[in-house]
Amino acid sequence: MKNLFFLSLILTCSMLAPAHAATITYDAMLNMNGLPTLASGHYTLDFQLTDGDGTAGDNTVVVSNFMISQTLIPSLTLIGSATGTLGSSVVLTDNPIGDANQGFSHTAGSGTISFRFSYTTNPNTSGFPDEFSFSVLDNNLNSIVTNPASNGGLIQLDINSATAVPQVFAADQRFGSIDPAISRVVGTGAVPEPGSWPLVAGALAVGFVKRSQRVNSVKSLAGVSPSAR
Amino acid sequence: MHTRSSFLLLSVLLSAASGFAQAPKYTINDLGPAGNVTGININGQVIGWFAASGGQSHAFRTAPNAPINIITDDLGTLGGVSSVANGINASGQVTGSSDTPQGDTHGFRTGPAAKINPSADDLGTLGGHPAFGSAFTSGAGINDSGQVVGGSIASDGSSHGFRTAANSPINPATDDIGTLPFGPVAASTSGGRSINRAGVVLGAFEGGNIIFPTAFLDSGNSITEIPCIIVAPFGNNFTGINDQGIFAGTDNCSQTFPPFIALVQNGTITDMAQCDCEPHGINNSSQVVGQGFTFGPNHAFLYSGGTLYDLNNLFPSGSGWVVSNATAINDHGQIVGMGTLNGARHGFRLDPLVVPQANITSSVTVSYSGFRMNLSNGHYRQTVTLTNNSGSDITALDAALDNLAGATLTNLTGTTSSTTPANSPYISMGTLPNGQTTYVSLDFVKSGTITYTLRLLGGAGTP
Repeated sequence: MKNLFFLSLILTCSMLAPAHAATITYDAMLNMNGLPTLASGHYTLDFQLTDGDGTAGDNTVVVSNFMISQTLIPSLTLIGSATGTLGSSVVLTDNPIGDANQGFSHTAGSGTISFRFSYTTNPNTSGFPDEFSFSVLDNNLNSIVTNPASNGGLIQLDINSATAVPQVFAADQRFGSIDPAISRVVGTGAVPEPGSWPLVAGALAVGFVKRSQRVNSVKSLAGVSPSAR
Repeated sequence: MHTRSSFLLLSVLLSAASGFAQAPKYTINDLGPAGNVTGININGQVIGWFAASGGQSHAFRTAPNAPINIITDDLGTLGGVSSVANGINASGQVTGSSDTPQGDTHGFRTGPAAKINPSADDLGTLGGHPAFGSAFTSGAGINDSGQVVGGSIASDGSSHGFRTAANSPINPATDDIGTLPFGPVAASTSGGRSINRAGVVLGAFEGGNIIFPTAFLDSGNSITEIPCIIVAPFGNNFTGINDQGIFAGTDNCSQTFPPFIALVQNGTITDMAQCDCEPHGINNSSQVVGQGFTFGPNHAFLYSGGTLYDLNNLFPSGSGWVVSNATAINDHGQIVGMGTLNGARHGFRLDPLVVPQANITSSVTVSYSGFRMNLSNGHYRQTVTLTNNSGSDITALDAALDNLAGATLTNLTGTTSSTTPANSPYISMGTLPNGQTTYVSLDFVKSGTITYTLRLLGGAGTP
């Protein structure tokens, strides 16, 4: 009976949730020691997910496992619907109303950065793709990537198919041509689809109520008053 | 190698086949008084120099398709009193030469929409020589990557050509073209004249028993002498090099008077027309303009489609204009130069009478990135990747954004006027060779969800 209930719950949630595209995970690493010292100001890290078609919440990118050598993990300034911290994880969900939703942070411009990013792959059926990018900005907040094939990101992911693959670009020669490396991670947990967050929460709540009722009924059968728990 | 006879035969056959081919027609635009007009880019920005407020020559760059505005177009100097502009690329970067506060003359390269910045734009020198003060350097041409060519006094006291890296000052260790190893006596001087998209330099060298400077091509890997194209005895009688590697010059081996003007590609000299002419400008459709004496004293000419024209016959008569010297032509067929308007010396721009560009959208493979916000100004950037699969080169490629909503495009070249739909913002990209890929960066100020339909136009005519 218990198994039948949870099976039906999962099936119900699966039917109600939007089409579940693949979730893909990459590890990224960037050696920033080639960056020249700025006469003034500082470099800025910029994580960004920007909507392409006007549909909110159809893709999510989670940045986690952030590490930076030679300095403390910096705090983030969040824009739009971005949530979280670099110390744990940052969730970016595309949102045309809040403009690009970003987390950006200051860094000294040396040492090695590494992080993991996982993304859903719901390509837009109209309009342009949602784009995730990771950039390093100079002291005027301009990208250090000037390659015309790039939008300015050292890492650029255009979610234009269910198998969308990120691209990497080297920085301009003036910024030491620093070049990120990425590698795909297999066998990691999925990023929940943005549209399924409420359903998952609802399922957990229903499951908790059902479990409470079952425990109470067992206790009742054992002669223990539910209110005495 | 000369191919005069075969080319003439081909020209005759083509003329016969075309029968009643119409001469091109233009409208003429007054740029205003100027010392000289030296160039025009694909966006219709014109460069040259004029007399600034103190009477000194100052380099200028106009707004797209606009006359000279002496207030806003003055590019200033490197700190000295005068400057001249010699080359401009598609993004609006200008190169030329300027006095410095020390009294030297140095080359410069500006930013795309900026005046001369003395602290950032000085190209430096190849070393200089005490006999010439500290140094003399001049930028002559610039390609779309920001590579500059020109001439500079080297440490041995002779003038050497140079080619810089993209958006970099002169590095004497890597950028010196040298004095060239041509026999029987090595040249003593060289100078870069122009540079195309592929980085091939066209210049002139002089020395040994060579009386007059002679053209050379420097591909970066090898240097080739073009023996019959001689800068002699007066003036400047060969053009820059276009993106197909073609340039035009006076063929001094033609043994006729007037001599032939010729197209040169891969070392092959093809005579075009007999003309007492000095070719000055060429575009990627191999239309050639210059100054001629065949049609009368100082009449500018156009060579197009196998025919030589007096430019004065190609715009409405009674305008008060005599155009005497055409210095440059861009890929839209716009021609600039100097002439007289009611007897006063003025710069001019000739615009081809409206011929709509062809829609070549189906000939190009297009892919779109998403958008990325630029934190420095809040604009949104999108990169569109274009690959030419048409089987032939596309000249004057323009990308028009039809029915643009949710944003305004900030880096537009203009709006469509001759093609339907009209009033769509477009960006000009110059030539896209067959099989090659280019990227167009769109800069938006966003007000909602951005939507548009991309339409690609190409070839001669107006977007």
